[in-house]
Amino acid sequence: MLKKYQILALLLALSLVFVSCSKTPKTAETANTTSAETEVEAPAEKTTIVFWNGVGAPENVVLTELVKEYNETNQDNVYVEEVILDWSTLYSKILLDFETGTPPDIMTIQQSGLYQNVDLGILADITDLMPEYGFEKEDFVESAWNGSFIDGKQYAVPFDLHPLALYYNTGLFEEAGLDPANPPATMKEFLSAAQKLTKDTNGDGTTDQYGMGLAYSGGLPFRLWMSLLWQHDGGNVLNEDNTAAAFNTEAGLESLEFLHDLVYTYKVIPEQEQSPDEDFMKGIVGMVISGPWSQFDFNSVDGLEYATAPLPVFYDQEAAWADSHMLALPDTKDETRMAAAMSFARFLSDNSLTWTQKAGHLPVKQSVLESADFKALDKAQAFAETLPNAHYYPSIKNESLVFGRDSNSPFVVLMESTLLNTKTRQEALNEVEIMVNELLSQ
Amino acid sequence: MFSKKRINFGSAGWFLLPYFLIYFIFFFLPAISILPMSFTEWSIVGTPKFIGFENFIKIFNDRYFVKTLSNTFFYTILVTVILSVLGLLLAILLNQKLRGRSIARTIVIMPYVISSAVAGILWRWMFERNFGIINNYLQQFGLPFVGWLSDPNIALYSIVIMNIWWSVGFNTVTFLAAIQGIPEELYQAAQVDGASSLQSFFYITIPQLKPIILYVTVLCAANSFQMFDEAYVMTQGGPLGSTTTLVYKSYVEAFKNFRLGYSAALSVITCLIIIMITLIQMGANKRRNA
Repeated sequence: MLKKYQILALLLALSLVFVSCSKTPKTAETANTTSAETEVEAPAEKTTIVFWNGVGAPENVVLTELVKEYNETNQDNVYVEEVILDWSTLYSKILLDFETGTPPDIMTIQQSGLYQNVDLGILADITDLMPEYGFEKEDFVESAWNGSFIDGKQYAVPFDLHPLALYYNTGLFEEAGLDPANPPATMKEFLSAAQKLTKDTNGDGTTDQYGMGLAYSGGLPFRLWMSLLWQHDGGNVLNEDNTAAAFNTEAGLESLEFLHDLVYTYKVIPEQEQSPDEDFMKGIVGMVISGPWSQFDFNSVDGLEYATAPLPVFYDQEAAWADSHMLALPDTKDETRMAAAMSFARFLSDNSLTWTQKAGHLPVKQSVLESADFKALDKAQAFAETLPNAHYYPSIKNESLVFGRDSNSPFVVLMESTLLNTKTRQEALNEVEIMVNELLSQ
Repeated sequence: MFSKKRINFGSAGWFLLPYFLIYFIFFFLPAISILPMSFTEWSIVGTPKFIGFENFIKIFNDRYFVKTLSNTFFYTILVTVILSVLGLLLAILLNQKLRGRSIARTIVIMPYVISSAVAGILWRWMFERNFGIINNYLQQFGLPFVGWLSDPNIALYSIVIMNIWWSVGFNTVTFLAAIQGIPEELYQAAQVDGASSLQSFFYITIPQLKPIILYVTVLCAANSFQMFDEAYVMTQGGPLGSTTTLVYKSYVEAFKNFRLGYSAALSVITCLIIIMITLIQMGANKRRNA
């Protein structure tokens, strides 16, 4: 006969197994007070949909606020359950959850991640749904609208754009005798400003303030390098049909040598820099090139006075790397829930100015871009000016391999070899060209 | 008395049951399923495609595999040796009748209480090149900045340093418990025979600790061979792949590149190597005892 404790132990075991096996779409949700507040019990007659917010900290709180507002005010009879993730978790979790039949109804996605997820058959084709919910081509910035199409079909609602631009510390500019109203716009001006900003402030013989910040690793350095490549007439990362590398050229080499020289010849970037944004906030570097997302952190620093300007034209023409946040619907084949998801997407799209005001990312709707409210945001203007010359990564199936940000990803290897000075620029380009071609042929 | 013993065994079994059930379903089964998975090409979505030994062939042709393997071995050997020796020395020190001994014992074990990810973040900031506290002190002594995590020749050592700070306490406590289990009579007898304290250490302490030394080194080697958290939090496997370990590479292949078959094959190789290391350690121990 089973004793009491034996039954207890058995029950405990079984309950643990059942709990872990049962369908829990919210397992990855972080214990975050803001998201907990949004989880009020939904009235039974409402359609409850699951939304994956993958934009990552710190901007994700702004989306959370919008979700809360939608839940409180919408007339669509929809209740949105939010799951907060970061990009890398989102991209791996969507595969697992799609495969097990429990995908969310709507999720954030980056334009660069779109092709891969469409190719895997995860996303629903929403070409026909778009006009039904009032999304018209004319309302959108062309590049963002076109970016939501793969092979002629639309798979996402463009939500924002985030091109690279120049941030500069106006206080340090004045100290260095530079005019904060005239930020550098050419290579010559940029170099001169960077050299004036680089100095030994405490007189101990070592430089403690640098002209510019640039991390040696991660995504930003190669995005900047690609921007420089695109600034060359005819400069491209991949060939026309995206089947082979096209960056091992005079233009590619020149751009790479320039970034290397900024660190080792002009010495206006600290060697082996790890966190340029932090260095900018501490006044260790006077300029930094980044996307609009950095404003969120920069604005949190008391006394940090900065301004933004479009990426200087270093070569023949204006160009800057950009990516775009979009809203995509995993293919659940459930029409009611897809309709609810589209209504929610419509709400987010209509309120994208809030997203811009609080999180910094550029709106993609012409009406918002032209509105007085948007024009009132000084720091967003530099990014808006960049829009016509914004370049996405070439659209390819295995984006996460080719444009990955891991230690062994090709372009990370290229930039680390350059910025840590372990190889000549030509050697690095040759090596990475082989790597990229291998990946593209898979 | 006998019947009481039987009941105790039974209740232990029942209380272990939940653990074993969970272990079986969530650890054992998935671990075993790695083997068939390693012969397939699979991106989670869709059906796995059988491709024989192709993944293994690809791994040996991978330009980073040898580097990853040597990183992993180098790290394992360094951590295992330092952690075992330092753990033993600290245990002996903390076994002396010193003032503030209990405080010192607490301090030694304290870092182990926090998770390795938290420890990693802490050290990432301390190791920061431009405003990290360590370089700040170096600068005050007029020394040049060290790229603790950004110099490809140094980054792995920095992770070793962090790991020693974090986990030496665990080995110390294990050794300490074992040292205190050595009968005092042995030392007294040695003293009567005129043995020096160094002789007592080599002829009593070390032989008595043999099983524990084996346990600590096997555990250390197996754990450090699977180093992941530290690399993930502190360096993301960089710079230039200098801190990419086998497990970190498996993670990237599976969850960033979605090549599950390839990742599974890497895990199989990792598992085989760990089994080999453990067998060698056990074998060496047996020979010494024989």
